[in-house]
Amino acid sequence: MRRWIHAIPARLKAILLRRRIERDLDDELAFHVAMQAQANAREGITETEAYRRARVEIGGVEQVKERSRDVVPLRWLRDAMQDVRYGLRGLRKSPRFTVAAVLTVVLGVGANATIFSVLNPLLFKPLPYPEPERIVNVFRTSPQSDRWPHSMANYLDHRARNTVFEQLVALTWENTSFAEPGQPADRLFELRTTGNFFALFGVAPLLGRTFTDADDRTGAEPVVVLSYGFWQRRFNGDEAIVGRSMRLDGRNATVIGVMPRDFEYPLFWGTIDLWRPFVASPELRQDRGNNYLREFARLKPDVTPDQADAAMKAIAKQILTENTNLDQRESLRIEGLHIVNPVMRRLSAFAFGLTFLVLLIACVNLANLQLARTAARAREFAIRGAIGGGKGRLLRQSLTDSLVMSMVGGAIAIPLSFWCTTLIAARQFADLPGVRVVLEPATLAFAFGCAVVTGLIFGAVPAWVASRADINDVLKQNPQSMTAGRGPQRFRHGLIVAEIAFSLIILAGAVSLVRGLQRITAVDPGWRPDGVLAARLSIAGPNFVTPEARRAFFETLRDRVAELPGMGSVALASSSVPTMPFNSSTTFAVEGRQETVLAYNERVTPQYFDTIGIPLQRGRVFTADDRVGRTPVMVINETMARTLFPNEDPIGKRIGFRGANPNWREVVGVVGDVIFPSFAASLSVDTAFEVYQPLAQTGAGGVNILLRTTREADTVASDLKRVVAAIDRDLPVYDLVTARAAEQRQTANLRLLANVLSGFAMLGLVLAAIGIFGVVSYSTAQRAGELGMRMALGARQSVVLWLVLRQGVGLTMVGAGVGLAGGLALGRVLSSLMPNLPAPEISIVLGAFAFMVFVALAAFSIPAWRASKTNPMLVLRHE
Amino acid sequence: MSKPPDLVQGTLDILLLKILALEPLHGWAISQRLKQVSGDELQVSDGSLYPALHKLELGGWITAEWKTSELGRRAKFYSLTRAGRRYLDQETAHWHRLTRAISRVLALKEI
Repeated sequence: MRRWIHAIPARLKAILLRRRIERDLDDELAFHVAMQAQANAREGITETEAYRRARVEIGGVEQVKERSRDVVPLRWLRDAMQDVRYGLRGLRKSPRFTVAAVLTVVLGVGANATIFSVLNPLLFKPLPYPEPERIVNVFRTSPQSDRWPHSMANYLDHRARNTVFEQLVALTWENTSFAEPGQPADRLFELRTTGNFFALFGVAPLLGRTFTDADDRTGAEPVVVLSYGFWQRRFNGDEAIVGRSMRLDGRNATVIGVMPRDFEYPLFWGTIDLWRPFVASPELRQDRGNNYLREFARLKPDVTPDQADAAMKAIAKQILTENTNLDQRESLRIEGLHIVNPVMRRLSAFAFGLTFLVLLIACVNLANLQLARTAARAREFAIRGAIGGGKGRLLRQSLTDSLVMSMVGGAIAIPLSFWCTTLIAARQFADLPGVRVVLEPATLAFAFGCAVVTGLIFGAVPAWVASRADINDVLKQNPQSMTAGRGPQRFRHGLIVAEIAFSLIILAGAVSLVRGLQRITAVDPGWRPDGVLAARLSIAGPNFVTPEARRAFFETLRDRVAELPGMGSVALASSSVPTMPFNSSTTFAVEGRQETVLAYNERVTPQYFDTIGIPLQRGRVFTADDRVGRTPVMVINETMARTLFPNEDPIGKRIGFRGANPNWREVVGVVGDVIFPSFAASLSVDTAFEVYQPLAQTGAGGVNILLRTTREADTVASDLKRVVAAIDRDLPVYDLVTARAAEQRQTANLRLLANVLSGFAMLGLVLAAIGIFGVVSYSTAQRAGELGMRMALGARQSVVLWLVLRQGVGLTMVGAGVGLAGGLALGRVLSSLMPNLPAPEISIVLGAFAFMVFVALAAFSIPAWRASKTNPMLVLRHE
Repeated sequence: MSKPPDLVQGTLDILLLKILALEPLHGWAISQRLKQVSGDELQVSDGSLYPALHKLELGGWITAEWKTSELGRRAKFYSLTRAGRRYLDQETAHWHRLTRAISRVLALKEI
């Protein structure tokens, strides 16, 4: 192909020597025009006319040049670079438009993607186990709660009688003392499970083996499976760990396996160090009184949760018929296994809906800005068309403009949202190693894609329409005095109205929800958390087998702690501070009555009520005299007293366990209700029956030290450890926490949600304000000529201000009206989703309305004010 | 007067090559020559002429050089390359075949 050789110099020249080519093109065409003019001049016309005709005959010098440029290779690349340069120049020349558009992309894409990323693992990630949709919770229900645990005997019945589950597992969370010779005791968190636990979850061990059904039989060798985290932390990932023996609670257990890292899912299980088989004694297998087991099940492949639910309700009925001493109102229920409970999920889904609304606002913004800009550029396009810009080229220019704008926004938004997500992950989720809050590229790409596509569509379509318009028509109109056409203007106004309405809906929805959550957290708990500290002790071990040994230990501990400086009062209790429901619940019966009631069963020392501040209402609290050998006594809460003994004096009544061996206890006092804001369950405020018994008459496995002190928690911690170590060196003291901190830990999810919602509301509001501001100031700038003319003709500043503002007031009112209706409708939806949430107050929605109107009007008035400040002379001279 | 027929796609290239095969010319002269030889039958706008010339130049069929013209001004003179000459021969032969075939068809008598 020899011709290629000839072509090379021309091509190289075309690519490398662009200026030279342009000059050549100029010269060549000038020569042509000159020659033609000379030829024309022979016809006896003026030279000017000869030249004009020559230019007409060639079809326009610039047009020919443009067509000639088209034949040059790599033209598209050069044009693209030129377009980008023009685009950037255009952005620099209209800073208000640019700032508004780029901010929209940054907030609409960056912030939105970040917030979405935080919700994502909580909402949409399935649990990391095979076929998680088949794993369900089995809860016991009663009129007081629908999430009760089970007794061992009931569990065994459930397991034997059901035909709907592949596996049914019972488990309980335990604390274990791990003491190696010569080292301080370490407290570990364990799950004590039935032998089929690992079979249910279907995850193979990393090392060794997991439990089998043989491991939970009476007399089985004690075995333990380690979590990946604990194995790494304590044994540095030693692979020879399998087969080793560990001393747990004073007994040896053989390590049989290590689970893989993903099996831990702290958001769901809490932090787990080990799993041990639950070996139930023959007495325990008969026990229906102590309810402390959680049940998990894997559905058979062809069984739906509804079928399983019906089947378990039938089994619950059978058990109640056979055991008439159980509370006959009990039943069972199935609930899908989710990381967060259904109410939280609904709330999160709601928040997720808000992300879409915010993204929508961002897109409306971009659309509106682009439309305003294209309308203003109609004349520019017409001029460029007149001087030889091809239609395709102009269209491409506006596409490039949109892209350049999106890219600038993206260049800021993308790194920013990566950074924010990492920051949030580190701040909020650092202690939850199983939860990976990461910005998924797909999320970001989706949000960014929406912004880009919106920009392209609303930038390019009007540009295309403009490029088809008759150039002469456009040029004849005076752009400065021209007001925008009716149609496009109405469309843009529609977008502004939509924007105001959307953001008011978001604002009203978010504010009502946040207020509702605040009102739940603000419920009076019935005790005084300020100044209360709590710590845990685990006294399961060979030294504490007898009740006497435990009581002696409690008494020594109580006295030694009370001697510490700054102690108001000290108490021991079977549960920690009541920010969460008490640890155990029992079915009680009233002497002389058939009915039985389920109540929380808390064991405390006499100082308990004083220490945490539960008020006594009738009778007395415990004293040192309520010991073994004296009359067994109990204290009940107000609600229980009122419900069981509506017209009688509860003092002196006797309540005991239901069954043949009631161990009647005399009610000696009535105290105020302790209210658990049970966020984890149903966002409802849970007032249940509460029974308190003297620790000295009952004993407890684990015990909590509660104290009211004026000292800092940190200084108390070391004193407490010293005191306990002085009594028994092998006892770990752990979980020292202030009641306030425990409360906050409980409400952390709610606060996170409230923050996310407030963030969205702010985001929507800011985006709407930016959008309004950008569009209005841009279109007001376009009207500068008209406004200047009006002022030159004598219109006062205030008149011009009002002229611009009037439109804004109208649009704001329409938008806010629609938004108000939407906000109220949303409140309805919210109440139906979460019946326990306090209904949105109308004043809040109205407040949001007022705020939105204020923001919108501010966004309108700044450009209006600026317009009224224009110097008419400048504008007119410009014309 | 009816509108002169548009040039068949691609034939402008052959015409230009043919004209340049006779002697090197600048753009205006080419346009004059085109008008002169084809009369009013073929109308080539000057606007199409230059892009076509530049395309041929970039394709290596013609080459250009700046020389002083008859008026004493510098003008860009185009001349045929060897590749261009071969291409012209090839395209001329092709054109003849095509027109002969079409003529034969058109000469068929209707019965």
